[in-house]
Amino acid sequence: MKKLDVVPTDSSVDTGIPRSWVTTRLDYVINWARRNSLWPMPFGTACCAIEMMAAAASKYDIGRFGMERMSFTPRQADLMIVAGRVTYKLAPVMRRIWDQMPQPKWCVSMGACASSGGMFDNYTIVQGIDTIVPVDVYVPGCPPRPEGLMYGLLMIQEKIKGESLAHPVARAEDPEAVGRPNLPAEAIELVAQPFGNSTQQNRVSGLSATSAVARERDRIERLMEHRE
Amino acid sequence: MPTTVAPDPTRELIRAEPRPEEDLAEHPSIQAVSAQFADAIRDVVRDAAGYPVLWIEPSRNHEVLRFLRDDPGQGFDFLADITGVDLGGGVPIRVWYQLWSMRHGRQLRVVCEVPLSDLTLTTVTDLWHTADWLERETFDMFGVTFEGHPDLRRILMPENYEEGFPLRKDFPLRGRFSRSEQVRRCLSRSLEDVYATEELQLAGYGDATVPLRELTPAERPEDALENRLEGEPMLINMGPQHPATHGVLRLVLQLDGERVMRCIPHIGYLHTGFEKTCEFREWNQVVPYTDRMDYLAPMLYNIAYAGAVETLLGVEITERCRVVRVILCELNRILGHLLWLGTTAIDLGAFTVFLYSFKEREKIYNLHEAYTGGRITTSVTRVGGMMADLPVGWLDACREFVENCPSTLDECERLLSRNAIWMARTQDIGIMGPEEAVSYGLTGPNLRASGVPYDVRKARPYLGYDQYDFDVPVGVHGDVYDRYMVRLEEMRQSVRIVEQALAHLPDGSMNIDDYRVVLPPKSEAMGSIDTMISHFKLVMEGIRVPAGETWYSIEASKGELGIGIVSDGGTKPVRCRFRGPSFVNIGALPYLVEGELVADVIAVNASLDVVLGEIDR
Amino acid sequence: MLDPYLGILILGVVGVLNAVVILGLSHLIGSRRPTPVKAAPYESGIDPLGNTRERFSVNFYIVAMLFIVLDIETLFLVPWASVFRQFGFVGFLEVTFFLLILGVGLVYAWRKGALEWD
Repeated sequence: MKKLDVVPTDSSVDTGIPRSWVTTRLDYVINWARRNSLWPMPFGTACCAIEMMAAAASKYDIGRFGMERMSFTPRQADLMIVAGRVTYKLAPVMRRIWDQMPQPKWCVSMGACASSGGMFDNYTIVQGIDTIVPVDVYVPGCPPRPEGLMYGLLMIQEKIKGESLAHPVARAEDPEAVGRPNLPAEAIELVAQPFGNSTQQNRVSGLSATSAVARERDRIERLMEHRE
Repeated sequence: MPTTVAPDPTRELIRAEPRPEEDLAEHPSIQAVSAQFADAIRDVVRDAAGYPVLWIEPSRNHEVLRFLRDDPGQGFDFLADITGVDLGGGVPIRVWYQLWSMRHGRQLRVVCEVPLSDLTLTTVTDLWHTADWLERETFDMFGVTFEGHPDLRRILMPENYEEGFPLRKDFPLRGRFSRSEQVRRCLSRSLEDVYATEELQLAGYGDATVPLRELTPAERPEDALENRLEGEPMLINMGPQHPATHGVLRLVLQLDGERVMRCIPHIGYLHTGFEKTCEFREWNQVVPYTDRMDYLAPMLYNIAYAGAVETLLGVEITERCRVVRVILCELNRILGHLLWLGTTAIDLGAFTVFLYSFKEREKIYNLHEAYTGGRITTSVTRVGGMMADLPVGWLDACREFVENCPSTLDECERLLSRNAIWMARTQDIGIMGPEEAVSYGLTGPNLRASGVPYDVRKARPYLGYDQYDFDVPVGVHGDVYDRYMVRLEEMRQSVRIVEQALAHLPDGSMNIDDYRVVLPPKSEAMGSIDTMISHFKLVMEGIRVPAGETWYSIEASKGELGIGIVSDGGTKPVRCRFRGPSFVNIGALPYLVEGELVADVIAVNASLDVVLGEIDR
Repeated sequence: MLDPYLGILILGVVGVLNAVVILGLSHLIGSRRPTPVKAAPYESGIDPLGNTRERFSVNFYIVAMLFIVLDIETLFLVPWASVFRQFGFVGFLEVTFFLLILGVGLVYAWRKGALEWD
């Protein structure tokens, strides 16, 4: 597979605040406050959404990490968890909601379908939401267990620890980039090309690819070899 | 006052009539249609499940179907499914009409072969309300135009989808455009692509006020309607990203203050192309796909699909497998209903019930995981049996679960059933009468709450359900409260069935002995050349199902789940149709909701118990 | 003698400080990257159709008004509830009288159908 020849978007912004021990102490406090009170926006579509709900329920309880307050409006959300398969019909909705979330914001792609299209390499499923929105953490699984999702959320918390006021990694949001795909066209083709089992899924039934099959009565009797 | 949902001895459960005759020509419906429309009949064959399939002239479909519905001797008042089958190679597309008579307990399929040069049929939306969305889906997927349909536009694909008709055989699996082109197109949508013409007109973009469709409830007086039209009602979107729509369902509501004047559902935001993808998978490779449609009760889909393929194969599963499948079906029915209970309660404000029901679901997840390794995506069945035998200790864990489940249900009921707020929000809301319910194609607890005693487990028993002693709760009022009571009682009945099944579980092998279908044990495969060849063929090609077609249905937790299979004798299905009950159930939402308050929209939507994976497939 | 008023002063100062600190911190350390889409109304991710400046139904106004009246009534009850023992029976009678006046108004609104939507 060709190496991805795309320059990663430099998403950090220089705010001009000089780094000193004051700002590092402040960074520590601010990052601590931000990461322990993340308000996720559950963009749940399918089976992964049920595991996300299970993670929010009493047995696994993401309330321990401050994330029990699910925000269904993007205005009050820090973290968009895309849980489940995303169709091309739903993609503009997802992109619009991402654009309407205020900074700072992060994105978790939960599950195989959100990360890469999963077992659905077909005409309707987005082959990885990172073609449309920037993703911080990918959680593999189909669906990932609630503990898997929590591991991903803890990784987001680790990521937030590394932020600073001087160079916030908050998405450098270009007003021109609003509503556009996250990756350029060549990159989309590269990440969406078939791999693994998807390369085997081009054959239909072994007997007839696209030939006509008549009704039972006037069909040639296809007896199985060992049947009496 | 809480409604009684005890079995009413005056209301007999609907059961399939006994069919002693072997010759299809003696079937009463075939005889009646032959007498009236002899020139319209092309062929009469038998479905693999036993009932007749009538092939008729496509130009006469409306006459024949009207006769089948209206003639008192036929009474096919329930349209289960309309779908298309494309075999490719320029062969005409077949359109299936799957019918069931509540009155006589009779099943029938009517098939029209429509040539590609003239892909039109007359609509039957005037006969059954179910046909509205089913015909739109057939149009969307195959391009069959239904003349006379009030609003024939795409339903699963986006409104302006330009790549073609996905389920046609000449449509490539990955679509016609490149991935980057698909991404570019999906992000550059305009208002016309997202809103239907009617909605644009309601918002004032097109002509002035348009007369509302005939599907709105008739009891709204004309003069009040005109008053409202002058008040500039608001057009808003509820969903697809919404906490209370139970998935990515989009409702466009025209509101007069808090009252809903018009509700237009948009689905397809989770259309995953299951039916198309399964045409490229071997018979056993389809099973993991069936988990992901109704992800709330996955084993019901696994079992239904395996049962459909076994019907086509003509194999009889072992007694142990049959009883285990019943246990899993009922456990998954409880699983699905528990989620419905939790999410409905949280939508209407009762948060505690959500936590209780999810705690209970975790116990069933533990059972799932112990058996299959997966909590939700179980893929438990294989054609001819199951993925493995039950692990040691599983039966004890299951017994413990059914002992403790009723106490959780009692606790949830103590919190809700006599609660004044719950009763005020659910009683006399979203009332559906029995005739409308059948005409709108509702199935499952929605239909039974409206007073129609139809349960596929009793009507056309499968997996030996006629040997279990259980009741089917039937409601009286058809409101949200009745649907709630029916589902609660169904969970208790499911516990009852599981207890009986556990008591009668026989020993023996789980899978059938036929090595053309089921993988042989390694010891035998290494020992005998015959078995080794079978093993080799199964691994390299998969099983081969003899040519034929069937439409097989079970009682899933949401309603009647229909699996339509067409095989040409090969290793992959030619057509895999999944008639998800929620697709038809949600089609009744505009009828139930127009004229109610916005808060009632939430209650009614929750009470229909829909799962978007099944609606959009 | 000053003690009860000192408590109220502290309450007032803490309340104002709370609001100022929260808003001030958000202003100082928060990012600001406005885009036109962020300012657009949120409608579940879909482009909104129709004008938001349309006339609202008058029933919203009635419900809001009733809420304000009854809410203020509750607001008056709370301080009384914390010192009701001091006021004794006379105070109880006065509060009952107050509730009765508002109760008559509520019954009037109820019978007029203001509690039903349209």
